[in-house]
Amino acid sequence: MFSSLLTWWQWIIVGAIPLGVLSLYFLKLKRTPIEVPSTYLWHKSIEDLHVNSIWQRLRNNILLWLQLLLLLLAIIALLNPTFQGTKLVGSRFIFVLDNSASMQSRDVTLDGETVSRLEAGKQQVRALIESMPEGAVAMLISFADGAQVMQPFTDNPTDLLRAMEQIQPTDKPTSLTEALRVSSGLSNPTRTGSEEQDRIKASVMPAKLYVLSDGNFDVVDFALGALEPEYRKIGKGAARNIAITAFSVDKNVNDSTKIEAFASVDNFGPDEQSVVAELYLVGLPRPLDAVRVDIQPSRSQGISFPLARDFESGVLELQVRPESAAGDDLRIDDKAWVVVDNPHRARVLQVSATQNNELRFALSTRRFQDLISLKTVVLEEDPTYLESETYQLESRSGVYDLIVFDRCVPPDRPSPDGSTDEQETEMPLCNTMFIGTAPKLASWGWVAGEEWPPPLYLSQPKIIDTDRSHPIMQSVSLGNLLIVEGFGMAPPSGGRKLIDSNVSREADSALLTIGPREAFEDLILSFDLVNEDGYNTEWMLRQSFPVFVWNMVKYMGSPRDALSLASVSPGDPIELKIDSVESNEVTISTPGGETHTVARTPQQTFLFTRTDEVGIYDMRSDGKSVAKFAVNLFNPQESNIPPNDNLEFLYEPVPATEVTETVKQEWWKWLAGLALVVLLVEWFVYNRRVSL
Amino acid sequence: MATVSESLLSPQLLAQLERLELVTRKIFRGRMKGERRSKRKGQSVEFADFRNYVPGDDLRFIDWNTYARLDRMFLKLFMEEEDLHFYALLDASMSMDFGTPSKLLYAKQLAAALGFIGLIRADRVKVESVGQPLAKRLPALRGRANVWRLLKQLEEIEPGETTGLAQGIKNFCLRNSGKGIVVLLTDLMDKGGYQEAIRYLLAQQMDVYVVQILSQEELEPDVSGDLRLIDCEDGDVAEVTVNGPLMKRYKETLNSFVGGAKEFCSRRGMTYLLANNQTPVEELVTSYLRTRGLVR
Repeated sequence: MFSSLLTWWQWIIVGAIPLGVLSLYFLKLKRTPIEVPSTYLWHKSIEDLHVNSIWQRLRNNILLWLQLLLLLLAIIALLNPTFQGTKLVGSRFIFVLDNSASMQSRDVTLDGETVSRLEAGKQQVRALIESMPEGAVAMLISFADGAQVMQPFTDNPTDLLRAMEQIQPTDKPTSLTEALRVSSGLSNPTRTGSEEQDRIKASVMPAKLYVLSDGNFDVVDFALGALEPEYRKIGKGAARNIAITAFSVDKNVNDSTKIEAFASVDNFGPDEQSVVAELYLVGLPRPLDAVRVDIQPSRSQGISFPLARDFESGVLELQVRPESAAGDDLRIDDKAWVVVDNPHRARVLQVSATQNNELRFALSTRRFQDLISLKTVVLEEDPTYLESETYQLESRSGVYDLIVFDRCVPPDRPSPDGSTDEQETEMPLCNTMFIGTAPKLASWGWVAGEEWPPPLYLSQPKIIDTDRSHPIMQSVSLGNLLIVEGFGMAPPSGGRKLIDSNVSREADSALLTIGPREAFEDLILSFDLVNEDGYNTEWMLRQSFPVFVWNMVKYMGSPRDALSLASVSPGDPIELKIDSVESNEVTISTPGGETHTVARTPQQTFLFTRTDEVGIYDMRSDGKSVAKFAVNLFNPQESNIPPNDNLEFLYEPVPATEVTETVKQEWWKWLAGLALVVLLVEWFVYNRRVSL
Repeated sequence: MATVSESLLSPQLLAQLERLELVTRKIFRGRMKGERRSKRKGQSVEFADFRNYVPGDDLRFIDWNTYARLDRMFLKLFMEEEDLHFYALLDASMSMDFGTPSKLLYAKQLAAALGFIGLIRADRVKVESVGQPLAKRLPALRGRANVWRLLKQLEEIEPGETTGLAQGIKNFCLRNSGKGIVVLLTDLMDKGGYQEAIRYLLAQQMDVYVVQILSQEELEPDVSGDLRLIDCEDGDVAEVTVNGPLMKRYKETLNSFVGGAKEFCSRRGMTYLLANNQTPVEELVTSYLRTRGLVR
């Protein structure tokens, strides 16, 4: 079996060398002239050598034969012949190699050396590429949470091998679906829609699909069609792994004055393991705390470390290691980080036409005190507030996360031509909630010149449906809620009806609607809570009201009450809202030392997607560290490294194909050594003029 | 002159040569009275034969005793002793100028030694080179007193003659019709072949000795590498790459050449001798030529 190390034009050069050597033998030698008594005998002796045929002339020239033999050996060595290996059957192959986090497990022995599963997988891919029949084409795909086509279909094994070398391990979770979608692109033809024209648009190109993986992912819900799968299992069944599957810092549930670090450590191996867990504060050389726990096989163990009461911010790192040296085959889940920071308090502005104590009370509970900072304005007392410069400035600069307009609307946007007919409401740069009224926005169904505020044409509407799937309406029960009067709304495009009523005008029947506005969302409750006559509804007396307010503030104001920032899985995007940053650009340096520049989004956040590796990411603005966030694996599926024996495609199991370790022996070293011996013999012959 | 003589013939050699004489297997008619038995019946003391008396015979040779017994007259015949013609024919082509000592010098020494033997045995000695023009005749030498003249003639032979072997010998034969011993001293390296040349000698019915003189360089060439061999006589070029097979082939060619010459000569009743220029002339004359029967 040969797999050439050279490309075609390099082969042409190599092929020309023997011809060059041969031609050297036809060149006129520079001969030393010597006078002899007579050339009579010499002429008779060399008569044979003067025969015109080149083969006669080259006959018995052992130096030439030795040189040609030397070159032949060198060329065969360049062909890189290998021993063992069977030819693959077929003409189209797709090699799909897993490079997810679990493939970093070092539990495979190759040539007496412990290597990672990815290395073993590459070795198998190499063997597969080298055993491809002549003229067959193959594609190489690597996959983790997504798929990457390393090499499109080609018949050049060199390109495939080169692409294979470029596959690097990642810390990401595993999903085969995208890889399969890419693979099936050419194999499975798409069909036209209508029945009479239902014919295959492209010809079916069946391909053999080699999945090289440890199989640690979900059932693949994908129809393979013309793909013929073969699963090459990589990794040994008795792999052992200790993993941190959760790590966070929070207040003690019983005593909120105490802060604790919680972690969950799993043993995915077949034996009981004794594990040492050490908690570090990044920057300090000595651990803050350490604990030893014994974990049963396939069990999880919670660990908690009490932290100092005044601990406010910093990066905590947790390291676990089994006491037995060989107890852990995968290292990247042995460390976890958590960034401890002050909670982010949502800034909420409540603007009420008259005093609305019920809403104010609901926003001022003890739980809300930690979560939001509330500012309440009553227009009865400060009628010019919405026109004031303070409001204008704050609403335009995005100081607030949420503004609740209770029976009032912000002033209209000044029209460029000065006419007042078609003016719309100038909305603040944040999420808003309107109670008992609606903004003058065309997207909300307001027609220029139409009557405003909207007439309260609904009398005692009955609630017939709530959208429980929306976060705002979760656990909100509104059975038989009494509402005196209100008006109906229809959600704008992209919006949702959250509370629907029984009014006959179907389109405008919603009592609570939510709709998008550029980067923000507007929530409209189309009935008053209180009005000049008193209560307009009994909702405030029900349990569901504070739940609704809580949901609403959590959703619209997005406050953060936990001490630690949420951890992100590798490959997942993270959206950061940093109030202290003024510039529109920040740089984020990864644990690997790379630096990325991230621009501010319209939502006043920073969206970072290059969370490829686990560790601490540092966000800097103007050279100053403004925030840190942690990327942790925290993925039991990846950490559970014993390989799967079956892959399931649409619940059809594909058993692993047993592949004994490829004992591929490369012969080029021996050939090169033999060529050296031939070179020595040639040297000896040349010097000794051995007559053969 | 004395130095020249000594270079050709050392005193020690002369002392050895004093005891030798030239021998021929054939009996020739001489020209003058000498020490050799002649075909001719003559007046020596040695009885040869009887023959019938015919009128006119010298009565002094009638065997009277036989007449008394048989009553018939017989004439008593006696052996005649005459001198012997000894020719030394030297090849003086350019190729003979090679070797240490040069093949020509070696040939001259050999010719001088044999000529000396002839002179002291009262034979007629003549030394010629192959390239000697047809018209030019040198006198035959006789008697010990002419040794110096013999040596002088040899000295005057210079290498560089261009006459082919066959043409030279033809000229020699035309010049010298007499019978006798001829010793041809040559390397036989003639592109035209030696066979024709030797046939001329054979036609003269002479007692022919062919001494092929080859230098050590020809017998055992000490060359290596990629060479351009130039023939010193005609400038012919042979390009060779000396290696094992070529040397083997050269030896084979040389052996077949030497062997061919030897066979050619012995088939025709000639005596062939291969002389290496490294063999001393004394040894050659006293040992090799004695076994070949040229000297005694």
